[in-house]
Amino acid sequence: MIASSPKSLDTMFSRSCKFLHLLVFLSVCAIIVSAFQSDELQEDDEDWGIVGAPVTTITNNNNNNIEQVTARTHRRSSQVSANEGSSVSSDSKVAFQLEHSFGDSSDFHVAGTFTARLRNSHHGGQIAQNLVLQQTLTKLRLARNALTVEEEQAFQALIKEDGFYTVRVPANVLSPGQDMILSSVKARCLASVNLQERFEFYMEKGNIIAVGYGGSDCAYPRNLIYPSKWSFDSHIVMRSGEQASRTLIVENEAEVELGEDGQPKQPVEKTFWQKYWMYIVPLGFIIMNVMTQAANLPDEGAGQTGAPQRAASAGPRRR
Amino acid sequence: MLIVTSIDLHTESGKGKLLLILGDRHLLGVSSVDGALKWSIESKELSDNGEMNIKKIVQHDEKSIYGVGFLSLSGFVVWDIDAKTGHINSRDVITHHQELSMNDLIVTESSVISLDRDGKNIVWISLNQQVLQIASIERHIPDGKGRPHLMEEHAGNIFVLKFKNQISLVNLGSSNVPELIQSLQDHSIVSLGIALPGGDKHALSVIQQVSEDKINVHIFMEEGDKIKVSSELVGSDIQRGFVKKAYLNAYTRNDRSHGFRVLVVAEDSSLSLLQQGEMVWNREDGLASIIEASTAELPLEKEGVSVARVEHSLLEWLKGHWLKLKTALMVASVEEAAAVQALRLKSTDKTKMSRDHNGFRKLLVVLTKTGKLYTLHTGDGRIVWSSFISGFRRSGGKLTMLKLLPWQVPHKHAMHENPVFLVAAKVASEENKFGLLAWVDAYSGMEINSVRLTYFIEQIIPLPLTDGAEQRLHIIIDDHANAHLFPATDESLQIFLEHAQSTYFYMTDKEKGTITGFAVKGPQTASPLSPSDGVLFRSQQLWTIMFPSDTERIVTTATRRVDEVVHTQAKILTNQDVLYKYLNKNTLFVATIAPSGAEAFGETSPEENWLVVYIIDTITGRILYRLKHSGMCGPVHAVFSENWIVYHYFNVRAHRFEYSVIEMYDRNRIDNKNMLQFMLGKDNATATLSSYSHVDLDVKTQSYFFSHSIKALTVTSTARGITGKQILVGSVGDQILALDKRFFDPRRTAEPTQAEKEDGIIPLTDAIPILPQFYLSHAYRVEGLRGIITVPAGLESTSLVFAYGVDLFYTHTAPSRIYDSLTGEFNYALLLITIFALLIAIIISWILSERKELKEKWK
Repeated sequence: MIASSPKSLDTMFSRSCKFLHLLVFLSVCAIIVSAFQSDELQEDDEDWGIVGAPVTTITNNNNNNIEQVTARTHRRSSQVSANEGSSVSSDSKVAFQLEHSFGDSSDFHVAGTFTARLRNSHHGGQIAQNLVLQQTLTKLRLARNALTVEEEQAFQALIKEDGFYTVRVPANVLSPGQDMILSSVKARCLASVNLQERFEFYMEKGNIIAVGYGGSDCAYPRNLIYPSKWSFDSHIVMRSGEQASRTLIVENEAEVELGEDGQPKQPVEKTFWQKYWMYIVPLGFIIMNVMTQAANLPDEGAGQTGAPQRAASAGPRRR
Repeated sequence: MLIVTSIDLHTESGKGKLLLILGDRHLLGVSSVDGALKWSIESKELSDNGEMNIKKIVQHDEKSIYGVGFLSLSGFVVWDIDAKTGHINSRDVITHHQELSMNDLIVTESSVISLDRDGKNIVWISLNQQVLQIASIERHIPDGKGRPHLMEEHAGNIFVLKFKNQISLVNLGSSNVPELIQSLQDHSIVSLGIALPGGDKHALSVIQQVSEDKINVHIFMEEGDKIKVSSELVGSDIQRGFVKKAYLNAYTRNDRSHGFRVLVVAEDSSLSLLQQGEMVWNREDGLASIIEASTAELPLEKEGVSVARVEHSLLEWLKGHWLKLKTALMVASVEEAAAVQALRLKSTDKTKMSRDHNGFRKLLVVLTKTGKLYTLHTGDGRIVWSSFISGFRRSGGKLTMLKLLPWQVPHKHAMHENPVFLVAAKVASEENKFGLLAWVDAYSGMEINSVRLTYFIEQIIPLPLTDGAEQRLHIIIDDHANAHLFPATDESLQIFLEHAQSTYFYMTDKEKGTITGFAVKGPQTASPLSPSDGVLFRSQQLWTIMFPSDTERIVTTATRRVDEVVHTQAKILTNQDVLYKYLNKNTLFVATIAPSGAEAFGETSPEENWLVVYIIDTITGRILYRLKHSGMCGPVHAVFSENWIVYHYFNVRAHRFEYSVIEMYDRNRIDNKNMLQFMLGKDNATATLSSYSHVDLDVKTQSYFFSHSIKALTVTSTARGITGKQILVGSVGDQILALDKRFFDPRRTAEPTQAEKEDGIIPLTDAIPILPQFYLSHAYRVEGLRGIITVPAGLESTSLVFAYGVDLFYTHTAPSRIYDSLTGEFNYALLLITIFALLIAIIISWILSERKELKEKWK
């Protein structure tokens, strides 16, 4: 439960690392943004200028990084489009509010407005009865209200006491209800990076599951630094997680044999000699035996006739 | 309402039973021989207003049954039904001028008994005469207080009236006047009445708790018109609590009279058989309902104690040797051989009540559902002590046991203190909800202290902090998300205040599908020390994660063990690369499934099922990783250890069970990748980490098929975390399987390279194999397996495993084989002989060489 121990400080190191971390973080962001490739069928990519582009970074005055997210809802629909297989798209604007609080989790005020484009595209696929409604939230941007004097003071107090700055957004962005998604960060974390905030949205079907909110980096110990300016730099990332995939589907599962150390042993293919030596060696002996016998056969045949013949044959040799 | 009774029925084919099933719409007669429906009567035939009117059914004679019910509010209806055909022979109505109590109705052999609405009179009809009769309760039972109720238990003509302060047994004999047999005060339990064999005799027993350690067994036997009453006083164990249920059984004594024995279920779910004023046997069946288990170290062996013990049993020692000699010479009798066997078992080190060097001997402390603590010895499984927590017993309301936590572990300077456990429970009654805490000494079972909290317990969090007496600090979270610090002393408050700034907790609401994070805010009260309620701290809500209720539902969460020891933070590969494990303890694994997947299996298609797993940082509420498995459904079991999670679920598409593994590595620390730096300690392994810093996880995953559904999933734990791990699986066949963690390695590839092979990577297979030697439980089955706990032994190689369910099972496992001690099979004799032979050889060769040298010199 203890998040970090105040012992073993390494201030120097952390300071020098801060810039490095920022760099790493930014590059990672770029990777994240470029890594996502939607498989959605798009007809009017050019209209948006973001889908299909390798790096979808759009910079506005707030320096927002936007990534698109896809959400799917299955809907049993009677309004199956006449031309099955094609997709029908419509889009609308969605806006929802960002609220913040300074240390007191019951006292929230409006801090800004998120705007996004919602694309509803119906995909009448092979399954005619199940019309898939894809709701795509793109171009998510945040217009932050400027901090009032009171808010500035509250923020300063928060930095001083190392308190939490809390933000919240509605759980359902399409029809905001009672449910809110909260996220907090130590105010000093934001102050130390000059109010560069980062929102990481995890979404599923138009619902926000969680918001990861914080400064771009925050090393421990958090030093008392006040920001040089009182306006936020917002950075928004949208994520939907990964899809699990199997690496290997083995059709014929090989029998696993356990070796000495408890791990399965891969049966080693034996050479021809290793497999059949016990047959080859006796066979070799037999052949050799037969051959020697065959070689001796004439002698033996002579031997059978008796010694006088040998003596007779010996005679001419001597000559 | 469904009442099933059975009656004897004589048919052409012989004797058989007829099952009478009384439901809301039908009365059915079903043959017990072949299950055939003999007859059925619809409710409209048996009612006046369309609803089933029969409340009780009783056999009248061999041919007919009686169905008895109320006629509106003031009268009885009795149906006479033919048992063979289901034909209604007659319907009789007997009315009364006053209203009757609808809740009190019993039907004995010859009469229907009820009470009037305010419980002043007994109203009954005789089934033969069908005349309504009334008797005043006050006149017949003058000492009864309050409104009485009729108890269901009756025997023959004896029935029982339950008053506020007592129960009264009444005989409604042939005289047709209720006759008080006996009134019993105190806590009394009535058994069901039984019919005695041979003749129309009936008996009933009442177990009366006279005091905490004495019970009185009353037997009431009806013999014709006479009632015989007998009582026996039996001693009982205080630690078993009060009697909850009693079952009477009759037997024939040597003198042909009736004898009785009573099977008693006590408050702790133990069974005892009482006969002839003695407890014949008892069984600790409470151990079948273990909800929490933990271990405690045994006391250190004190010097001097063993010597005294030897002197004390010198005679026994001699006797033992004499017996052993006899058995060796084959002249011992069967009893003597058994005694020798018992002695041998006793003399082994396994069952000693002191700590051993290897840490194999431990006390298993278990908490059962009834609120009783048992301590078992790991050597032979015997119960060392068992104790009911007295502070919990008189709480009133529904008591739910929550947790068993080690409060004080003898360690360092508090070495000679006894270990203490904290037991937590909660009570929810109609009026209020509150928590209960008790501290129990692990060696004696003595209750040191118990408190009744003014708030409800939602969660108990042990902190990684201890005070001067080695008491662990705990915070208790109540239902308003306030934190209460225990122990409530100045010292612990001082210790906690140092860390209060960085204390966070989270709460999971499975119903709403939310996880909410909180931070603890400074102490609230000015004089915060109230020892019974802890020190109050408020909390601040920091974050919320909300899973959309129409797409996801939380099924399982898993965290790392609080006491887990990790040996190394890095994994060094053969190519000298270093992978840093992501070892943040504030990491939570959550698995959610599609709500449709929770419905009856087989009704949903693979497209409608999915499993989503999350890795969440519980300080910031950030989702570190999200992985969606399409076409998978629950139940999900998960285990989280070090930097990996293994979880088990069902693959709907492949119709097989599956395991997945997630391993997390920290990419942030990849810049000091060099193994040399790591070895020289020049890495940032000791730098303080903040949860608010950016986390860059390198997540590796893999899935494997598995052929079993499982009941429990856990992992071995060792003293220093060096030894490899085994995943312990409670299989659906109630066995325990130990699977090597290497099978779950996500780095497994189909054709590992030479370097990977050196790292111990097994070639990738489709499924996790189950080999016969994986069964830790051998041929045994742990019936009704519910949980497995693992405890490190003193030896690094060994982990102790305790599995519980209806049966209990305990064993050791060594995941990487026993590398730090010689096994029991080690041949010491051979070693000695070898050494001896070598010595002799050396001596002989030395002598020979000396002689040879001497000879050389003489030449």
